Amino acid sequence: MSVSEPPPTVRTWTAQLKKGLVELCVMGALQGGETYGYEILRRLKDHADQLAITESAVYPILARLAKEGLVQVRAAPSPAGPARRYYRLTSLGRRRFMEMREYWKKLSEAVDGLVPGDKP
Amino acid sequence: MSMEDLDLGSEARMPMDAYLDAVDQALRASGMDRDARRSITDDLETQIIETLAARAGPRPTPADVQGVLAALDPPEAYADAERGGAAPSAERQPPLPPPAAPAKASPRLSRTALVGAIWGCVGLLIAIPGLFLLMVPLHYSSSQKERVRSVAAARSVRAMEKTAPDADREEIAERYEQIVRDFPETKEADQAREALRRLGREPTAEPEAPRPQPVPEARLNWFSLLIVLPLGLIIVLSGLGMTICGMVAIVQIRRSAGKIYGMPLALFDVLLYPVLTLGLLAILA
Repeated sequence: MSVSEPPPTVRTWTAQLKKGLVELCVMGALQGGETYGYEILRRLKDHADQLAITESAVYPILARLAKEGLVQVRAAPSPAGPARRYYRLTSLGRRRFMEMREYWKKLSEAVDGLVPGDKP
Repeated sequence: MSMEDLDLGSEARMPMDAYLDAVDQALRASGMDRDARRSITDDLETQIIETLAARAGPRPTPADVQGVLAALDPPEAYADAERGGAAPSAERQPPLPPPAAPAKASPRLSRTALVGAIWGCVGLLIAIPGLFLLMVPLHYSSSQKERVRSVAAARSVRAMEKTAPDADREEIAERYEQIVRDFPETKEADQAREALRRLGREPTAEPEAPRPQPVPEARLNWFSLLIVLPLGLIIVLSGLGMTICGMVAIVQIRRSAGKIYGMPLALFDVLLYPVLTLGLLAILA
């Protein structure tokens, strides 16, 4: 069974679980430097296939992060089509990302301790 | 391939514009503001154009555009993206029931007015009995002094009558008269009246014009000051606090649009001490 296709019985749970993780991943992608929306989406698809992240999740998050002042937006000409919108983490966004990452580490460690794997 | 060569004709562009319009409409229906909607559709348009350029060459056909659009999430997926970013294939959750309208808060009594009223009344309850207790010893002291003086005067006259029986009866009678006039309500005055009758002289009635009594001098000693100063401070602070609380409460009540009541109490807070002060000034004047 593919991780990206959860069984119907846990789809609601996985959808809830993804909430917040997508935002963490988007900010993590921006931690590497300025980039534009479609590039962020490609990186996430390449590195976090299990999360089944799509454009309908990433672009609204980018819009919200910009509204909250966590990312800065700059329009730059594109080789084709409309101008690309380049996103960059602000200092506030970097601080927020560090806090989220620290919390995620502690949380995942705690969950690992509570939910043992397949080892006997 | 260079994307600079991409030639997206109007026929091929039409389904893409329709898709972007549908996304914008779904976002608008969800209550998203215009800037956020434009941000999303611009990113989406960039994605579609770059995907077309990579897949279909410099002149994509409407079918190529349809193929790219088919791989994208349905327009309504963008509106509920914050609910977990589920892929379009994921089973959609049943719509949540509309949140229950928040229960209308019942109007409440203005706490500020209540605090002000309690503050001011407690101040009065402390200060007034305190001042009363302070005045009693002063009054008692004044009465005692009068009593001592009357006794002294009576003794002096009786001594004069005993030690100098030949003294001028007129002078002794005059002294008794003086006691009757100065201390009419005392036991010494009664004794003086009897003595006057014994001397064959009817005591005169009440003096025609009562001699102005000297106002007893209420001197405050250090002990009294120790009481008066804190009590005065309590009254001032209570008055200021109560009045200010009342004014604040009036403003809050007027701005609350019916959520806070207690205007009479607030008015009571504002007016009590000013009215008491004016009354006191009127009495003193």
